[in-house]
Amino acid sequence: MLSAVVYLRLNSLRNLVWSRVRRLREPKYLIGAVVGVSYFYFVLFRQTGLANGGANGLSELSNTAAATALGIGSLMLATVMVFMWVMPSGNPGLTFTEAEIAFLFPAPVTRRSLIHYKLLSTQLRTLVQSLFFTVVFNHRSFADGRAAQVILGWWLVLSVVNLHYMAASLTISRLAEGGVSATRRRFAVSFIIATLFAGALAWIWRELPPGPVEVDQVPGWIATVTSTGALGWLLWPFRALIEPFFARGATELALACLPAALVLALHYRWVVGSNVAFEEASLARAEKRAAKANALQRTGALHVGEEPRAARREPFSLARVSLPELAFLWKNLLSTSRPWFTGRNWLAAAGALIVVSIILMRVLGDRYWVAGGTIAAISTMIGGAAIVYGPLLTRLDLRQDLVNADLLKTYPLPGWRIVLGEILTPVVVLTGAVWLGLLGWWLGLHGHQPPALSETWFSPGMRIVLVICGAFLAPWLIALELLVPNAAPILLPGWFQTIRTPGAGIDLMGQRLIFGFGQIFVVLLALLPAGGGAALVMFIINALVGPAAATIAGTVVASVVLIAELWCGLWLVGSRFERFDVSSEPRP
Amino acid sequence: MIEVSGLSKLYGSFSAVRDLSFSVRPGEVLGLVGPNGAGKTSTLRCLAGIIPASGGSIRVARHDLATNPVEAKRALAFFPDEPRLFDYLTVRQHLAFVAKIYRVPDHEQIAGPLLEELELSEKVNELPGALSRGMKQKLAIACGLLHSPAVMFFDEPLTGLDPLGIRRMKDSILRRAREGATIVLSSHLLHLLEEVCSHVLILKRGVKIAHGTIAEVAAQFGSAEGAVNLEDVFIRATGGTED
Repeated sequence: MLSAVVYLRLNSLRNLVWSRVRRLREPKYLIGAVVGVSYFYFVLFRQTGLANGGANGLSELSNTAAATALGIGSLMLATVMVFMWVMPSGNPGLTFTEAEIAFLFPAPVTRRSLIHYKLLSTQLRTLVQSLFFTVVFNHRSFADGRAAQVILGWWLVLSVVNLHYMAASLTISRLAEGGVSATRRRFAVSFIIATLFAGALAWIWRELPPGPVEVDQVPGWIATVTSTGALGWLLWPFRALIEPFFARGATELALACLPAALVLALHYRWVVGSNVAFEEASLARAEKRAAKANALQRTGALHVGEEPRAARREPFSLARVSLPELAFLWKNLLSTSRPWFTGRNWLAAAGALIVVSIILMRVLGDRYWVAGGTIAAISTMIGGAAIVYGPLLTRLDLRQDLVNADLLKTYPLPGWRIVLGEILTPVVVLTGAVWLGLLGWWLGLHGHQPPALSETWFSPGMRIVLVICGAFLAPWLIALELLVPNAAPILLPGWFQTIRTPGAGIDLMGQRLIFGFGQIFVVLLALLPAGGGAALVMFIINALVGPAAATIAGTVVASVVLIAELWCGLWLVGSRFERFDVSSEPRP
Repeated sequence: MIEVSGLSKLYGSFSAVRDLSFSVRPGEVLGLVGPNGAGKTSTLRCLAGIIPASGGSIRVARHDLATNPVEAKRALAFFPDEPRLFDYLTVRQHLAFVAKIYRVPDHEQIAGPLLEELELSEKVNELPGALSRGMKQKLAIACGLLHSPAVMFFDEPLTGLDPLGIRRMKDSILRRAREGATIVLSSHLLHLLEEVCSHVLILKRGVKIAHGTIAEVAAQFGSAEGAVNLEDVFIRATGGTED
């Protein structure tokens, strides 16, 4: 089995690398790869100092700081593993692909061999993850020659976490086979953990001096509590796994690795010794993953949650609308992975925001601005993120449906109506988020005038004008932002990847970066006339009438320009869509 | 030789297969038919050792699948309805991988004629992504036949094949049976079963409702009007519904 695994993994890796290298002969992949590599170099390596060298954070830690980090790390690791028991993922501990199931399950190999196959297969991934984590979290270790030690540390931690996940899943399956329900298991695990935790707390209370008073005493206190007495014993296996990170010198590292290796060996023995029928769960999981992959290829949407099992509530009655564009909106809202994009839910969220704010105003009185300021800040962030990042992230539009372009082209509609209909869903969803953000901002600042805000432009009366104008402007702005990425695959077919393929390679990542930056650039360019026109009008009207009239006039001018640009864009993209060669769109 | 006795398969509290017993001798081709959800795929997967049976016993080539799975599996091959291949192994590498798993010595001497027969010789260095659906199916078949199995299980073997591919697949199944292989196949294409199968087993909701040669089953569910085809037999046996 070992030789078969090695053969499979090495050849698969070689063929994967070779196929990726071979496609660089096409300019779009080559340029994407150059951009992707440059991005990694500048953002990750160069910015973090790896390219220039630097000191290693771990090796420079004082004894107290290292002991504190060790204590916190072991607590975090313990928490992760406890969660595997209290809230298991529901997936089988051993996941196989459909190909592995087709080739290995009917093959003359024992169940134990299959477990070994899986363990060996996950090692390659664990090694790559260890290297990646070292680069991201401990990049300076490359400069002082401690990279191998840190990679080893990550490998030990990740290997044991993987093994513990497998062991926990297999044991939970065995308990389920034995008739132990999920509720009973959760109760038993929670009871054991609570008992251990209470015992540890009691020990801390009785044996240790009182808790920290000064802030600078906290690290030392954490180090003592997590390394001595009851909690010290409880956290020993987790501490043993982390200690190799902090070893100084080869001898100390070797000594630190021994207990970690013991923990690893015990976990290995646990998994290999589990005599649980995992085949059925693995098969079900593989079929589910394959169905998701098919859905991804079919629709371009990466549904992370459960596949819908029941028909969803319709977002609105299709019978009541006559515009065909709204049928696209209706369809795309129904096909979202989040079923809560309905007008009723948005209204409920707005209502809840109003009620919570009123309650806070009544309860806090003059001190409402403390909570209100937070509400306003969070709302501003939500609204801002919806405008800036929303169009970059969403795919509930033409890009998702482009795999069905042949079907769309048979509809008796002009191209611009199809394009408009397809972008309506993200416009509606993101506009809803912006409106909620505006409402939250207004409610949060109620009765308070932050010193950072101009009293002329952000007076209580002006805030209402700003909110209404912002709400009016938002859909046109978002629609224009969305038109740009939707135009890209129509205007530049063959270059744009409509399908989000996880782990598809650095060249595709580079292509997405190019289009991401291109999208921002084009949107900024398109906003210039609207922004310039609005600024000019606002300047004049403000001088003649005042800020409220200036804001309203500026909004009208900006909206007119944005709508004009939007219309031109829709017409252009729509007419190109009518001539769009379906065969030029790369099929997955 | 396949001997199944009292086979049952439970998914939680749902019983997919109940108390199923039958045997298939070398040279026989058994067609497994039934409405959707009848338990055909569950039965085939249990027989191939892909999922464990909940009860009963399965003997493949005189080896008990539960107590001696490795020897039993060494004698069998399972062909799923969809070819499931490793994305980054070439045609040649798929066969080499299978040879390692089944410990086939000098597999290249067997693989050569097999690839020739399945018209894959010119594709040996291609990845599955570069193959058509039919070619992928052929590769899956080549992988299954590499260790010269005595027992073969086909789940919807004609899915996705063109007319020529269907003819070749039928000929191939019949030839393997004539050479002494024991074959079980499931299909909704009843005319295929009439052409290829010597025996038929009709399942409904996990329970065997008919088993025997096609003539025997036709006689069991025939009518006074005379000869009937398998489609009529199937509809009469199952009552024309899935429930």
